[in-house]
Amino acid sequence: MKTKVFHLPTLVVLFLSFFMNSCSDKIIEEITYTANVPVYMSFSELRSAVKSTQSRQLVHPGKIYIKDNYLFINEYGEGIHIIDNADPSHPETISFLEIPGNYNMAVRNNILYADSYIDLVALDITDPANPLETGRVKNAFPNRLPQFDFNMPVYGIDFTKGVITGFEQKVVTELVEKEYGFLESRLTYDNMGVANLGSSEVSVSPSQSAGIGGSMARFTINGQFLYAIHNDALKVFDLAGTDSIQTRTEIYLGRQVETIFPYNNHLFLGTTTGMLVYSLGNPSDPSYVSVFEHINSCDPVVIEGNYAYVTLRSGTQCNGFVNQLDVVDISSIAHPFLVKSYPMFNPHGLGIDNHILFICDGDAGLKVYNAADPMNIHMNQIAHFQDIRTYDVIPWNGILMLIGDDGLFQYDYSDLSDLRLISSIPVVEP
Amino acid sequence: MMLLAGLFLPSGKAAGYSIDVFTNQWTAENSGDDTKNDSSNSVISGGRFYSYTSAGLLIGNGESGFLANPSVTSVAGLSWSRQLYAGMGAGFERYNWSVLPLFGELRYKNKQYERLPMISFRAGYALPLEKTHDGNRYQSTGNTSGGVFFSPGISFRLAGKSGTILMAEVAYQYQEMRLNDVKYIWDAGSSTNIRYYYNRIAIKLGILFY
Repeated sequence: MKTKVFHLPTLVVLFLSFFMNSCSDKIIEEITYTANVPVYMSFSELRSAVKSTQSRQLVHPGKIYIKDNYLFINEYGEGIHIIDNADPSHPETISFLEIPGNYNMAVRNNILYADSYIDLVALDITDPANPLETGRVKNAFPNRLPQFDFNMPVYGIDFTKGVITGFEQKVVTELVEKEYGFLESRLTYDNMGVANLGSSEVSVSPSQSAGIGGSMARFTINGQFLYAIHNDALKVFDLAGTDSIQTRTEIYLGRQVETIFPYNNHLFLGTTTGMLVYSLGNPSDPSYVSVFEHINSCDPVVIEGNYAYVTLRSGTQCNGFVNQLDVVDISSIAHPFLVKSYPMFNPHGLGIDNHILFICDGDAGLKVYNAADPMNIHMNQIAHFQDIRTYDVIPWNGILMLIGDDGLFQYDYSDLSDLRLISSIPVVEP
Repeated sequence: MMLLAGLFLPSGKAAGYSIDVFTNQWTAENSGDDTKNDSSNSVISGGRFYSYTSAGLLIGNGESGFLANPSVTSVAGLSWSRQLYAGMGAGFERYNWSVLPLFGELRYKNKQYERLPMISFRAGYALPLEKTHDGNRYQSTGNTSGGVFFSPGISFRLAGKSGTILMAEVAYQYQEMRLNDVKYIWDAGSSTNIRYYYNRIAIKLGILFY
């Protein structure tokens, strides 16, 4: 006897509908590659790491800063050498201030302000041999990354784990849905030069280069305010309080900022795509005045009189392809315009003192010009020192301070055609 | 049929048993007394030879959308009481590249309820029939490898009785495969190993001999 249990077509339809939803293929790509893998320092370790130690040799000098008779030399990413430079012919190293992740600094009164990876730290240097931490702004400069090999992807970044102090190159394996997600781990720059890693905007520490409170600085102080550039933002900190730093406004500039230079109650911001001018009429809230556009390039800036001197150079971080000196007329600060461009080899920092323009032109050495006639600077080269290869220069009280891979050099430039080396603090390879 | 029997059941017992296939009058569907008939003619613990050959399409949503690829398989094995079937099979199937599936099969038919379909389950491993394939994101050539698969399904009798039955079969089929490649994606080089997890509906026509 046959028993009818199910109607056949119904069973088939049920069967098909049950399985049809799961009938899309799944494709997983297992990718093995060598990547930059972050090395972390915990937040608690970072915030207890600042301390004064015995003086040490220069190994990787970064930016320099001058305050009265003291010279501060950044040891790239590690801290600050404090040097008594009362007698430039005999600079005396006093101490070394360990500040992990330090690249920038500025001094107001007896307080040294320095970055420490993501934090801004205030240190009392009344006694330079024994600085004391007096304040800290946590996470003032978020999402900072140290230098890494841009040719390789970055793997596994997590900013909540701590600060990233470095990268190790390791072989990693990643499982991703085919053709989704993998490429986001590579560092990219948008059309304004702002660095991104995946969907996060990041700030990559500058390559080893020097500044002063000069052409390549990223911190500057005007009155009671510290102005710091971070990625595509200008940050304002109020230093008026004795025990604390107050975070004020943050101005998004929409482009990658490289340097900051204060002059005549204005800030001149060197970006990878132009020079921005902000007014300090209200110093707690700088306001946009104008922009001088140029093609993508790194561009330190110095100002004297009615002219801004901007060096553009090619470099991996700035995506630039030109090397030149631009002279910009800023007599009308709201309408800066290019006066003339001069070809250069690979100009980095520059300094100017009473129309004498000093340019660190990469491997071409130090060039000295009389810039009194901005239309004929190239016709007025005073000297060219091919063997002085430095990143940045600051002419100060008749002493020309230069810093580069080989260390700090101080020259007497009373005779411009015959610079006289009066002292040096050489780099010592560990 | 003799060839398949020789291939999968090379022993002497299997050979005599295969001959039995063509002499057996499996009419239990009408008589309702298969158990007795089968057991009286069994050679190996009541088992009787059967073979099942099917051809059809593997349907699903692939990388580029809907697709339907061919599938041809053949199985030989033993059946018990015309209810339980166990066999081994091989065939040809196409995914991103062609494969040779080798598998074991179980089938079950509830004879008390004639309208119920025969249920089946296959599991095995598919060997690649192509050594390389242009399949990764960089359109370079990778080395293919096979993978495991399984396939539960149901079958319905369309026509036939007494030893030869034309059947319609619907099954879900899961298949894994891999494509390995070494490619200089980054300056440091890298390798990719693409794992494919196929989910397909198999719709086939088959002929069951027993």
